Amino acid sequence: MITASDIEKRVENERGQAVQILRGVSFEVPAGTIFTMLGPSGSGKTTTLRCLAGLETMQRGEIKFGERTVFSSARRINLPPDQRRIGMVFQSYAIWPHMSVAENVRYPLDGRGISLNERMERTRRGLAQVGLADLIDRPAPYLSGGQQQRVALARALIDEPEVLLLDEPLSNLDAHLREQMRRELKSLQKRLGVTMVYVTHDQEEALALSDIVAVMRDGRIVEMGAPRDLYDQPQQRFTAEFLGLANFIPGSVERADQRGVIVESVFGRFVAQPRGDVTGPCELFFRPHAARLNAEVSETLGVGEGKVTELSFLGETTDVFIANGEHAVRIRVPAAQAPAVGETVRFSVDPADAAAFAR
Amino acid sequence: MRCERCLASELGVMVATILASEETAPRRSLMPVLFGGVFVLLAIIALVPLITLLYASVTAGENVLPFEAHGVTLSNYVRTFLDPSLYKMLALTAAFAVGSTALGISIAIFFAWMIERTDVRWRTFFFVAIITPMAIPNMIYALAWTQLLNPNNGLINDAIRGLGLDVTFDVFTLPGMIFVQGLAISSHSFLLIAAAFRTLDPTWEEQSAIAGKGRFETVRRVVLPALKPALLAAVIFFLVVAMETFDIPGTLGMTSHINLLSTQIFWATHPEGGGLPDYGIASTLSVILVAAALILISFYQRQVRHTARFVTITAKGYGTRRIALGEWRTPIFVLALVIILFASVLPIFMLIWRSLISFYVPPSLEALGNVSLAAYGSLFENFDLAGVSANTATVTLVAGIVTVAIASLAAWLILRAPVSASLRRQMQTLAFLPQSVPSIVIGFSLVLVFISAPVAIYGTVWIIAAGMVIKYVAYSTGMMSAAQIQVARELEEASSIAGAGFTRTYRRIVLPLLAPALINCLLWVMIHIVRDLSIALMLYTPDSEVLATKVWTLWENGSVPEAAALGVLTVLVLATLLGAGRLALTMWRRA
Repeated sequence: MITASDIEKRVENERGQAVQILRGVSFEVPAGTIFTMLGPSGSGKTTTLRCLAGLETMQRGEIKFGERTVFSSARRINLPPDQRRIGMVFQSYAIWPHMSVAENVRYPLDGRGISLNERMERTRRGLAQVGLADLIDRPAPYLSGGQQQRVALARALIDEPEVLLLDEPLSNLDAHLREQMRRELKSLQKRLGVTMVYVTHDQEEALALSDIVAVMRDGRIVEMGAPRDLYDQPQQRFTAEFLGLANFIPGSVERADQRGVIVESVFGRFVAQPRGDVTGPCELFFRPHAARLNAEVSETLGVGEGKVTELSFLGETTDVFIANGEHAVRIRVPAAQAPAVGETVRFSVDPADAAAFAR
Repeated sequence: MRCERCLASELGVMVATILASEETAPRRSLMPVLFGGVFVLLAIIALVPLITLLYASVTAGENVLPFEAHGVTLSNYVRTFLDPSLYKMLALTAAFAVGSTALGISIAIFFAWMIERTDVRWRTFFFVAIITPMAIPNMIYALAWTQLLNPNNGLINDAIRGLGLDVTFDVFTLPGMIFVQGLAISSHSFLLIAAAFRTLDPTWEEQSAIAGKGRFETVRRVVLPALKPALLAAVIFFLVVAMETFDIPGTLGMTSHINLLSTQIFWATHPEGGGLPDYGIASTLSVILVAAALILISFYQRQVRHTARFVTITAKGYGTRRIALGEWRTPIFVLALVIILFASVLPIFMLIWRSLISFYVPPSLEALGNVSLAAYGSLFENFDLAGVSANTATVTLVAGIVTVAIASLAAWLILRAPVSASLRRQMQTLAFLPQSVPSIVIGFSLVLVFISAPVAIYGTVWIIAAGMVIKYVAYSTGMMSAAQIQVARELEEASSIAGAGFTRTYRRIVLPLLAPALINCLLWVMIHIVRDLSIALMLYTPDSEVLATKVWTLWENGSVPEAAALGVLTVLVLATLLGAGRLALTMWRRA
């Protein structure tokens, strides 16, 4: 279990002014789970990870790995990285170019009185775990990106750390390899039971991999939860927008009823779940796949109407762009059900899938 | 000694700040000690010469040693500034610096452009030929030129007269000095300027051509603006070099009494005819020289920072598109050959020729009968070559290793130490400050420190080594910083995560990755120490002579063949060092 409470960090910029990077970040990661920090660049996710590692010194807060306090501003504790007993995979992999694969992976075990035989045996096992048993003697410069990534992972895991930190480890791989590595990473984590903290700006990666996702912006955690909950029921507009395609239609709340609030918009009248205390002007949110077209439209759900202006064929599905005046929505339908451009269509959204954010 | 005490207390405050500067809880006990230690060392290196000079300039008198004086006086400044010859000397110095820089950089630009961007013939030959004079110490280069251009029997003057022309070039004049210094600068600045040309992305020019601009318009609006920051940085840097240099103006101005700021400082402390040294005037002139260098260097450092931002190096496809010179191909080739003849071939040939004959005769087939190795033998028999070589080797090795050790640690600490950014910036300022202190001034300030200090190192090789360390720590820190930046921070952090402390990370990750840069830097420093005349000249005694000072004393005493012979040997030593370095680097890369 990792506990981070109220982490604050300031740095000095080039002109000597103090810049607040982290503004009170707190979270708990249960042992043996995958925790992902997701956010745009500059949101503080990598800095938070580096604070966990001890590579950055923060001004305030406390970090505990289980019962071990590794940082506490109040108690003036700051363990250096080499005493935190963690594993870490860097975005650049940080494979030492002057060493072989074995020397890289073995490094955390060196200089601790472990016999060379045992170190080599564990290195072999570690490399087999990531599917690189054959490359044990290869010099590091002769590795492909994917191989470097696996070596970095083997090195991070060789000393069986309780905590594994990963800083955008898949961002330098091509799309195909990225998906494969993501699945391998998840199965390796489940097998070893290591507690994993993962940083990424790729929402798909975060959703597919994590037990808990923390969405970050401007040095704060905006929202935290299971991937499914965050995607379907975002409590914050930023989460809704950042986690995938989203429609936002301006409207206003008419009144509340037992299913939610009634929202009047340029497209028509909808029923939505209010986020906080919403009255008057609001934004209606729903995902493109949550809306139904034409035949399936049901008056009890709330219905909108507009003209099809553009179709975007995506293979299995088609995105239909429907406009009404200057506003447009995107609705994703099975390719076979796509209407024609110029047609006037009606669409409906289930009240459970729609949310109203105050404007 | 009042001032030394306040210096000591100032340093004490700095150390205390460093020790207390850990941002939260204490991290490692080693780090504050290391940072504090290097900080104090750099502070001593940077500040002791400057403070000593300032102190001496307000205490020393015409016949009073600075540390024997009582009370503070401005009489040295009054004496200096009321002397009308000061202003003539400043004008000469400025003319020398500007003239030689203009000539040198122009030649360097011509060669860089020709070698990097055109289809001229023999590009590899020209590359080697233009950098060859770097293996020749400037004093020896000047010595060779006295044999080519002295008004009586210089080889070139003889040749001109042989053609029946009534023209004589005199190397012992200001234009003569400018000419020789300019040639030396062209060789030293070439690599810098060629590097700038190499960073030019040919697609920039192609893009301009596609936008419908002609070649002239492209050069004016794309090529020159892209090169400008690097060229400007080179110009400022070599202005400082020319302003503070002693070797060429000292050698050529000695007999004709044309004195520049740097040579005047030397003659004030080494009066001809063995008068008493005037430390008051010398320190005041040094303060003026340092102030001028400080101003120019601060411009230079700002320019370099700007350049670093400006030049985005895209090595992709460079050199793929060369300008076809067409009908200009032969004229440019011939012009380059002529410049090489003057910059490399004639000086080296003349140096060798002069070392082989006892009494000067112009080189010819008949004169070959006079050739002998007598001067080389005389060096061993009469001039203690073995002792001089041992001294040179000691100074070069010890100062070289100490300098590179301090520089590589300082570079790491400036970039990576876990202390506040402002402390690291202060360390950087200290590390680069000695760059503004001319060699002759470093030598002079050490004279002042050690004639009054109780330590008995004056007159030993160790004081010369100390001077060399002071001189080259700034340059080496720059070189090692550039290399340290290339080592991605994450490579060190990964080691930390793997449980390694500073010592293990430095030994197993940083040092192996820096090895090529360390070898390069060590060689660069050792070559410059062997070349350096001014520091050694201020600090040597008959027991602590090194190669450079021996050439000088031989030349000063009129033993020209011996001076030339020792010059040839020095060039061979430098060439060997360069070759050994190349070999070491290749072997390291292969391993």
